[in-house]
Amino acid sequence: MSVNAPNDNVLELKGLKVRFDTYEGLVKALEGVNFNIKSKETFGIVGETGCGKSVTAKSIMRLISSPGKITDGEILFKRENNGVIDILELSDKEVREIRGDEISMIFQEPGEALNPVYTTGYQLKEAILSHQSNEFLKEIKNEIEREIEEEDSYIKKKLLNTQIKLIKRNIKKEDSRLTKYLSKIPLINGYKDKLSEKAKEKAINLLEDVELSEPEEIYKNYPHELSGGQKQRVIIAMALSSEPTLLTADEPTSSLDVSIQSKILSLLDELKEEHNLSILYITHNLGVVAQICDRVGVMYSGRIVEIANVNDIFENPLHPYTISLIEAIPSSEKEELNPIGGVVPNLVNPPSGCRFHPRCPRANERCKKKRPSLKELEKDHWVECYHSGDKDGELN
Amino acid sequence: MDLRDYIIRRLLLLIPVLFGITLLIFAVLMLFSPSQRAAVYATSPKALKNIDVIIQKYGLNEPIYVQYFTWLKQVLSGNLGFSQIASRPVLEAILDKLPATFELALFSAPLILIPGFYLGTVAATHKDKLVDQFSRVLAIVGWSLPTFWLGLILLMFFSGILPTGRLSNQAVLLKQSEAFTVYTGMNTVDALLNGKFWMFFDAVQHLILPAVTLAVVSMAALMRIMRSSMLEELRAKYVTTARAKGLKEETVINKHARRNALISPVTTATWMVALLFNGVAVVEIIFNYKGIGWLFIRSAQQLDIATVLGFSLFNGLIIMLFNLLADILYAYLDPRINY
Ligand SMILES: Nc1ncnc2c1ncn2[C@@H]1O[C@H](COP(=O)(O)OP(=O)(O)OP(=O)(O)O)[C@@H](O)[C@H]1O
Ligand SMILES: [Mg+2]
Repeated sequence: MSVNAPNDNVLELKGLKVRFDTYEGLVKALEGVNFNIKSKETFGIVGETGCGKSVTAKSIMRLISSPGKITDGEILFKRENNGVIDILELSDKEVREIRGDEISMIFQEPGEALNPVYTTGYQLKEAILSHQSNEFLKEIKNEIEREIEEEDSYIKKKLLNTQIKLIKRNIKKEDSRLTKYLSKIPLINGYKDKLSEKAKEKAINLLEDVELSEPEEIYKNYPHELSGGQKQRVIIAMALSSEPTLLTADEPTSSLDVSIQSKILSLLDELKEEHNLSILYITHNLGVVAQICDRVGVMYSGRIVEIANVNDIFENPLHPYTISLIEAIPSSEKEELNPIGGVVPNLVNPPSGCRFHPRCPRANERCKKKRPSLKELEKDHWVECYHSGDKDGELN
Repeated sequence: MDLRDYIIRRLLLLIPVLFGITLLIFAVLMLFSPSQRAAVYATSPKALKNIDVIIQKYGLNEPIYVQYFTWLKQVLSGNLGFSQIASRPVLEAILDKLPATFELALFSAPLILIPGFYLGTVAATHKDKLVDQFSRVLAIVGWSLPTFWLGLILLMFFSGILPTGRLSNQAVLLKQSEAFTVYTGMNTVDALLNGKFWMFFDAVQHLILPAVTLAVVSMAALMRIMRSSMLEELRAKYVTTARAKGLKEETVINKHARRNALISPVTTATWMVALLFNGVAVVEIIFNYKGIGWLFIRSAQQLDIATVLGFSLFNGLIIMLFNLLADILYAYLDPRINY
């Protein structure tokens, strides 16, 4: 399954297509998305609402659920051991091993991303233990082995030995009924308390890492007892719990106050340095892009239509859509995308050819007939438009 | 914990509610003439023969508020009047029939709750699959059968296989013998406590038809409610978060989605069970199962005012207690509730 890739891409999407089978018809949400994220860079995706940003992010972890389906493409991911895999070819179990471990995700609305009936502590511990329980169990096993040596009582020794057997079964992931029931018996499930203790310790550390004051308190709180900013920090802590290589952040700040937004952004920046993260940052705020991204992909109606370094996007936008986005930025501090002329295309019956042609000032017959492909017009500057190479338009 | 304070506060709140219930019942009582009302105060058939004495003694011609307090005092001291139907004091008559209804409720409730919650969850996680279609058919059938009709059909199909009544003659004899101690009045429980297993099975056989009849409609309703609640929760964002952590689908469904999905159906389920404890007259009559529902219908037919009012008081009490239970469960399940 390994594919040779002589580059430093952490992630590469090739021709990703996603469909939603709805009552209104087949929603062609992603229509061949291509981009790559290099190691330790922050790659941004910008675009209007409904263009497919969240769907792209979810696809990477195979989190698209019914009625959605990934119908085509490849998602190449470089694992921690440097082997490259296509996430779409993995079994469900293999995907679970990557989710939350090597790739993590921060969601659009922190208010709804945490389960309201469990404490933050519970949810953090769950994230930690879903990938690190073996590490902890091994530590505990060693501790218990030491205890056994010092123990004189025959019965206690026997009990501790039983614990070790159970731990070994757990490490081997033998989820048999027997293990399940045995680990409910008092006297011999002492290791579970230790496991929970260790997870709690780590959880508190994580809460400190995301600069939450009073982590002990927050650990005990339910989500509704926290502010939006606090919740988002908890979610970030959760995402970082097992040192991922790639962090996907889907508009993590759009529902927060401006002042909290910038704090979260700088926190992400710090954490990125600390943990050697690569970040996929999704937003519709060009100001945020300018602040934290290294490279940007501009998304329009299920396609990435332009990819370039941040500076090039702002100084030398080539795609007519990007140009109109940048022109639409008001000169004031507020840098939310202003709506540009025309309407967002219907994804059940999208426009033929280039999906942007109905709104494009330069569109001609050819744009209506056939979609252009993504081309590297300048170094590291990719554009999907017939007219971008020459300003008048018929060359490509 | 806060929950305990909440429970105590709610228990105290029961006092004014109870007061309200007695007012309502008293208002109904006042619709009758003094001589009709006399039965509500009588303690023996002998007393009933001297209605004038009762009217005098309890001041049934006095102003209403005076009468209310006289009546309330009687009620609080446990005198609910004399039941002509049962030829014994109302309280005794109700307490005598109560275990039968409770026993039936205790057998019927799991038949509502377990398949209701379980099938609802499975139908949601297998939406539009075979199990879901099956649950849909079951729900439609369950709903469209009026309870009395279902009862009659079952009675027809199983007559000769499953008996009606509460016990066979043989078991009744045992129950009345010296050797048998009645602890609870619930035959299954008493049989086990006396170590008479054959009597236990005898009692269970008698319970099957009424318990199933009682359960079907509520079970079908609960199943659909649970299904839609679960479907809604499965779409929630925190479910995606849980999946994104790398949790097993089983954990995502059982720990995350279902725990939230339970919150509102639990209230409905509590109400369904409360109704069982009040005695479902139709079922008790069809299967000749003599519980309080049966007693109520008999007394209503004969306009036995004392029994009917005593029954209403009991009903109010049960509803109130289950309402409290529902609120406590809700507060327990949903940490967002401010108590
Ligand atoms: N569950 C779904 N069922 C049907 N269509 C869906 C579903 N989820 C997404 N889509 C479709 O996919 C398209 C892309 O959605 P997506 O959520 O990725 O947009 P977005 O770019 O993240 O927008 P926003 O900025 O509002 O978050 C939408 O137009 C929507 O119609
Ligand atoms: Mg989105």
